[in-house]
Amino acid sequence: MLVEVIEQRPTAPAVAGRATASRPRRFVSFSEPYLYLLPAIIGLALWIYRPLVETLDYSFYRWNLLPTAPKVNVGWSNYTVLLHTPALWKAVGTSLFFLVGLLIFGLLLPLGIATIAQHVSPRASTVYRALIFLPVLVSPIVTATLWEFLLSPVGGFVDTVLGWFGFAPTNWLQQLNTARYAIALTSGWKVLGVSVLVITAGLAAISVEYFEAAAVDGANRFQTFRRVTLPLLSPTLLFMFITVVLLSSQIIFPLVNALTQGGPEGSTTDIYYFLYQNGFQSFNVGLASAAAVCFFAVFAVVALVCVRLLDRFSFYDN
Amino acid sequence: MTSYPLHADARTKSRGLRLRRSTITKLVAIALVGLSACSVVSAGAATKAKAKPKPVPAFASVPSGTHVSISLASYLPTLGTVATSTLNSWVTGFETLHPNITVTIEPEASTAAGAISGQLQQDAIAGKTPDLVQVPFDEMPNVVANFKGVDLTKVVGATSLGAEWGGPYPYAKAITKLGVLKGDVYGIPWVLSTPVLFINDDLFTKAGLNPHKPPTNWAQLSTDALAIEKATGASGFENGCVGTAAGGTDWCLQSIIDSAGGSVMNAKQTATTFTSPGVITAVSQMQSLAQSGAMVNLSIAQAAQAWGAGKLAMFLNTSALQSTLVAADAGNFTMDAAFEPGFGSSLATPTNSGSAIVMLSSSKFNREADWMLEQYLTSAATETSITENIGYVPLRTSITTAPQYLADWASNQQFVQPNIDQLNRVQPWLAYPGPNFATIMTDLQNAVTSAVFQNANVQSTMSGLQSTTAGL
Repeated sequence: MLVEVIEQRPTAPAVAGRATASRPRRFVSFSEPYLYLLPAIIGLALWIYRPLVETLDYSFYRWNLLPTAPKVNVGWSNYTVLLHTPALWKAVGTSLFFLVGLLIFGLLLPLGIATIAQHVSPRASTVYRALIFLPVLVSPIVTATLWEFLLSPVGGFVDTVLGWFGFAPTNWLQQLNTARYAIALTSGWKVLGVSVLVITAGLAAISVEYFEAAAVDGANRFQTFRRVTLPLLSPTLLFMFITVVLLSSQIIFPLVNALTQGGPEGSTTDIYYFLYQNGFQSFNVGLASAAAVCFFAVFAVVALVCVRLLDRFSFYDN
Repeated sequence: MTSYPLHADARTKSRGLRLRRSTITKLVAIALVGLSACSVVSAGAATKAKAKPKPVPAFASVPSGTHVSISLASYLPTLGTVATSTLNSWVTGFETLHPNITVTIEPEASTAAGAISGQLQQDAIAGKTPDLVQVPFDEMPNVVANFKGVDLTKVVGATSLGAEWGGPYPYAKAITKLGVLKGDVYGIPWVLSTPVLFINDDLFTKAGLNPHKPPTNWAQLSTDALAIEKATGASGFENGCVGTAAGGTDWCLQSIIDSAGGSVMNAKQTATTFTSPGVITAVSQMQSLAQSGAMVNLSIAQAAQAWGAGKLAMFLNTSALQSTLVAADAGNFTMDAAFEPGFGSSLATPTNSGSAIVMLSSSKFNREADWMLEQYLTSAATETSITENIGYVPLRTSITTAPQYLADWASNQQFVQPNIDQLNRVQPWLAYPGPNFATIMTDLQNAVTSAVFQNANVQSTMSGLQSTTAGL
């Protein structure tokens, strides 16, 4: 079959020979793939790169975004002010806290769930996976409203259940020591389904022969997991890691905005909410842009490191 | 022969796949970084100034053959489904009356401190400033100055304004002043409310208390709330003036402070007075309510749900929440409304929250259509609907005795009466001067929340607030 295809190729030069005179046609055939790419590239440039350049530009101005208001060039002052703002560093700490929470729900738990689900009968595991995936389909604001009711200190489901075991009611979203855990939990609930799905797919892609070989060699379940499953799953896990790190803002922001508005006492203000408050509540677009540029730089480094790791640890089974 | 090339082919393919995969991952990663980091500027795309039509000062009615589309930005939808459908019914009524005018409602997302100004700014950036906007009184100076509010005294003229204020059911004179800035009318007051104490009669009765003798001061409220909690397991009291439910605005917190004999500003309204004895007394009283467990800290949604489930005995909030709470109780229990509690034996000093409609259009026909809609939305018939369905005070006060309007509405008088009575001793909601008015309000609510619900020291918290806001 393959040989036949290759044999057909020599017929092409005959056509090309006739076409040598027509330069435009050659240009068309050369540029065809690029033309296919063009719409995507235009979209990318318009919606990703242009705002990026504009953000860099805004970060050197003091401006409130109104077309009628004057833009004042302030040099690097936005950056100096930003780095001396205690709220920024508090927000960075909160973001790291949320990230750890998300990694637990987006990496560790799904790994456990997916591994265990492997040993469940196929039909049961389909139902099981569907149930775990369900929260992903719920829109962020609905998620927030749902949890607002579940976590209510007056008649909320969580406190009611805890009450059966003798726990006093807790105002999860409004208490200083619980609010960030509540946000970490709700965002984790949201990310768990996707992760389980991706990791299950990753597990399914590993050839059964490796497990059989390990079993023949007398490896126990833990050894198989440690020496066979984990290495072969590493690209999937790294991919999930990158996704969780880079998408954490999209997952957490709507929940913070709807549930706590960054409070109490700023304890749930992460870097994105900090950015939003400065950019779109105080309309200090210069400071917010400076923050965005800094975050971009940090995340670019993180992404680069992740991609290197992905290249290094990837093992593609053929 | 065939095996070698096949192998080579497979290898190249595999490398190609690998290369492509890592390139794709990189591209995805870069795109994600872009997405996550640059969200702040995507709105900047529309900043290129648009050529606005020149303002036309002359004023008349829209000719019947001319079709005009106008938009009204309103926060009534934040009050719940009843308020939303009521608002929509007015628009339908207006459009039926004037088929050549189309009205679009743009719901304002929030009434939190400075939120309307914020949303107008986002609208302006996106190039879709509404024609009419419902503006809380504290935000009027800022909105008029920054978004070119139309001077109605000049544009509509004294005759038309006189007709609006007068008629068989005139506006209460003091209320017409609420839309005046520097001597000119910029806003037509539309809705007005005072804080009222909503009461679940059934929980009072279950705890052996008389719901028709509701607490009149904070000490009594505390005793009643704790008694109800003990007897019924329900929560005693949620305060919409402090904490989460206040949403960062301070109109009703100001009334608690005023009732304690204090004020948030000096007499000349030039400086904040957050360490004055009245402020300290008010905040300390709230703190002791929270510490004793008499008062909980819920969001509006949580409070409405607890209320509907019959698990909340008392709820102090704007009378405008009446429609939401009546809908939430679904006839499961009897509810009542009482005066805002005071300190000791003196009655509380209520403040009023509320808003005016401000005109922002610059074109002739839009302004004419705007004015027609404003007249419709403040007519005696609409005012009746505002009071009956949503719970605001009627601004044309004489409609309460008019049989075709509010006089026959006896069954719900228990809600509207405290509101109207409190209007007689209402103190204005003070607006902080300068562009940082919203920041001061938010800072005040944050400080009070941290003292009341996080047990911070009242004196030192308020001193800290006084020094940070002094700079603003």
